[in-house]
Amino acid sequence: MMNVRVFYEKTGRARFISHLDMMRFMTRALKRSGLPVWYTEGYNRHIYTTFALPLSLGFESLCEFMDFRLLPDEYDLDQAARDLNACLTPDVRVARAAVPVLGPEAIRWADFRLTFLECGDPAGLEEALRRFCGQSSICVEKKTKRGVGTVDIAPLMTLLEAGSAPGSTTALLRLAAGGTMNINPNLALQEFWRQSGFAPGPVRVLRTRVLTENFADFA
Amino acid sequence: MTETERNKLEEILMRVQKPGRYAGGEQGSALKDPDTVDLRFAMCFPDLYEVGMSHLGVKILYGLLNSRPNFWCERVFAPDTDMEAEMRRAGIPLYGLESFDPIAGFDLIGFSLQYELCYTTMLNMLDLAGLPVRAADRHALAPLVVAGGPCVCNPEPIADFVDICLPGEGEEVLPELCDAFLQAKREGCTKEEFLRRAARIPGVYVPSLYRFSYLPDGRVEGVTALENAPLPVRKRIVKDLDHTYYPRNFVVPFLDIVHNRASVEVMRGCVRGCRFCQAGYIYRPNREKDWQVLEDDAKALCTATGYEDLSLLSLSTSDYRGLEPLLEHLLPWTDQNYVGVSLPSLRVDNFTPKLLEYVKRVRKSGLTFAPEAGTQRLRDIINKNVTEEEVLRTCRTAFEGGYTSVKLYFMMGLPGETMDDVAGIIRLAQKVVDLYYALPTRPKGKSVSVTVSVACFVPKPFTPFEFEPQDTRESLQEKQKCLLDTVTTRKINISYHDAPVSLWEAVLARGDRRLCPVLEQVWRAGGNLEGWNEHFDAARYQQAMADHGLTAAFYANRRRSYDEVFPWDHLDYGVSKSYLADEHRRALEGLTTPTCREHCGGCGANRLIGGACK
Repeated sequence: MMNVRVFYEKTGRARFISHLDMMRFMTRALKRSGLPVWYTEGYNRHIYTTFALPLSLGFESLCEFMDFRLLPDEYDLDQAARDLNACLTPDVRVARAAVPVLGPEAIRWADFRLTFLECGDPAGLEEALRRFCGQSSICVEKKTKRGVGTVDIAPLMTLLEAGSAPGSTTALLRLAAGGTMNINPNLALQEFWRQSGFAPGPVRVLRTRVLTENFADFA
Repeated sequence: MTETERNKLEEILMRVQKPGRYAGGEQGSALKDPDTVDLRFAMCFPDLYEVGMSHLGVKILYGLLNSRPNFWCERVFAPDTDMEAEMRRAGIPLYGLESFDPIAGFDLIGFSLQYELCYTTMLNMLDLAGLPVRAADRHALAPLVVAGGPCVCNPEPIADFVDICLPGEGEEVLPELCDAFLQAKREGCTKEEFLRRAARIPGVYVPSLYRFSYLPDGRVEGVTALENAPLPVRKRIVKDLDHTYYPRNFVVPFLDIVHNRASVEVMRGCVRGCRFCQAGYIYRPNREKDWQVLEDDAKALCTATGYEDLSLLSLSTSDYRGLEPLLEHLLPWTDQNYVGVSLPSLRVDNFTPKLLEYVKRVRKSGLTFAPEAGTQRLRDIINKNVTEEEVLRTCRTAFEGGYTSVKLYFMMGLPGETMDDVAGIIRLAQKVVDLYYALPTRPKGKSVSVTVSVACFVPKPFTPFEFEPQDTRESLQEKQKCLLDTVTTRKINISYHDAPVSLWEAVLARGDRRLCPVLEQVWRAGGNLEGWNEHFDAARYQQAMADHGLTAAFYANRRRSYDEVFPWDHLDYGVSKSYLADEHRRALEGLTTPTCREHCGGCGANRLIGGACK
């Protein structure tokens, strides 16, 4: 038996698929693919899968992960990726499959590309974003499992890039991610709209990378 | 849809509940290049995505139409109220889930009508598409509005809104209609000319080519066909299910839907002749499918979809004669591939321990049986042909097999029903409870649960009870009280559906063309998604009926004589009216009728497949 991790993209229409629905979809795709996958051995036997770092409904992503097990001890994983791709929709594409190196607890950061659409003053918005992210402290209320608490998101957030073009502003934002501290881009955005005074407009969110403590790509 | 509309739509989808309903892109959905197809078809289901995506008929027709390279059939469901409000605010018209193109630009718009209370939803969908709801106000050839499904066996209440109705089985007539449409489109035909041509295709009913006249008391006097349109219009039917198209793949939704599984249809029609059951008459004659074909269909579907559940569908699956060989051959494969098999629609009179073994291998939840009436006298009237002994024997088999919960379905308001019949429902349920406790083999310390589900009877066209009045609201409420008063144990749970919805179902089921403006008014007053209790409002119907000088009682609670002209008499579903009248007389006398297999009653349906009828 071998553990396998597939790295896949979820874009376009697929961003409206919730995490739970996505899990069901990927399980069915595995079943359709005919890959020799391992089933759990309980009363209701099902294909074993785990997904690291759930993506919010409405976000697109270039770096999604699903782990499962194959029955043979060795298997051509490039072929497995191709077989799985043949059973997916155009908006969900497997980039590669590999033996997992790290566990999900190694995830510390995630990068998001934000595109602010229908923007009346793109340069002004860019400037406001830079100012917002440059603050030494940004305290926001965050819901956690233990209730609502106040978190300073400034040390948990870095603006890597920002730019503007007619009608839109883009930003590349690095945020804390993973099991211990996870900052959803929407939380930062909400505070940004509140502080900047800009009227909230539509923002496209694309997860571009998921990183470890040392800023290496999660693998 | 333009780029701007598409952006707006995506923004909206971020705000609404369950955006997956409106985003398409599911595995198995048909994506085609609009420039390479000749015909665009919008397959509309006037209910929410979760309901419409569960419907087998739609899946069959979707697959069938898309199997033609030059046809592109897309799915369209009714948006929920939050999505509808957003769409109207943003000016986004109703679109096909595959292309996101507005359906107003399609060639044909087809509605699958399963339930009378979805009529207003159909009007709302037409309006949301940007089309006039009345057929007479849509002047161009395209889009042409077509309706099918069990409701079109009496299409008169919606006759003003649809251009064409297809009584009968869609896989027979729909491709033919589409081809005729293409031809007309190429020739630059007017809508009027095309409708005249279409009326000559067997199984096509064009409501605008028929005129109704009424007697002073409101009954139908007669119907006249114009422009040489056929009278009656005989429904189309599949002769041989083994050689008829069946999908090898389904669109597999991302979200969970009502029936989220692979399914095969083991037979069509039913041999039983329960007198209340419309499906039992309008889908006659019974046609079984070869179990080897089914085995192949089932394996192909499970493989293509990745579903882990498979359902063997029909009106009465334990009457399917190939069931044992099918299960014998299918179950080793499904076990090996981790697929569970479910058998809905089992009867108590042929539920064998062997069948239970098969059912048990799947899932050990509850079992459901439908005695339909509480006493033998009433079960004979409705021709259910199930005895109390059989119900108890089946429950015993189930309990001995380890089941501790049973669900029993009944109807209230059946013709000839007395308070004793109502109390009989609870007496029967109590006997099932007692049976459980009398069993020495029952699991220790486990209690039994008997759920009694009671629906209100609605008389439907093309059944022997089409002549019968529906029980009044007052009488039904009294019976409900009697039902609740008779229960003395907590082992019996009662679930009861209220009467107001059933009254309006009854009105629309046997209504005539004068109900068209009523429906339009109900829709304009906000009627939409009325199959959902939270959206149903009887006051809208009462008001609209009053405004048009009509009463619900005339349609629902009036006894109709055998010689009355019914609004659906010009449609021929195979079963003759005289047979239905005979069956009605037998019901009044408490006489049962054997199944089609034991004895052909000569109902007339065999003529549909070229067979003999005595």
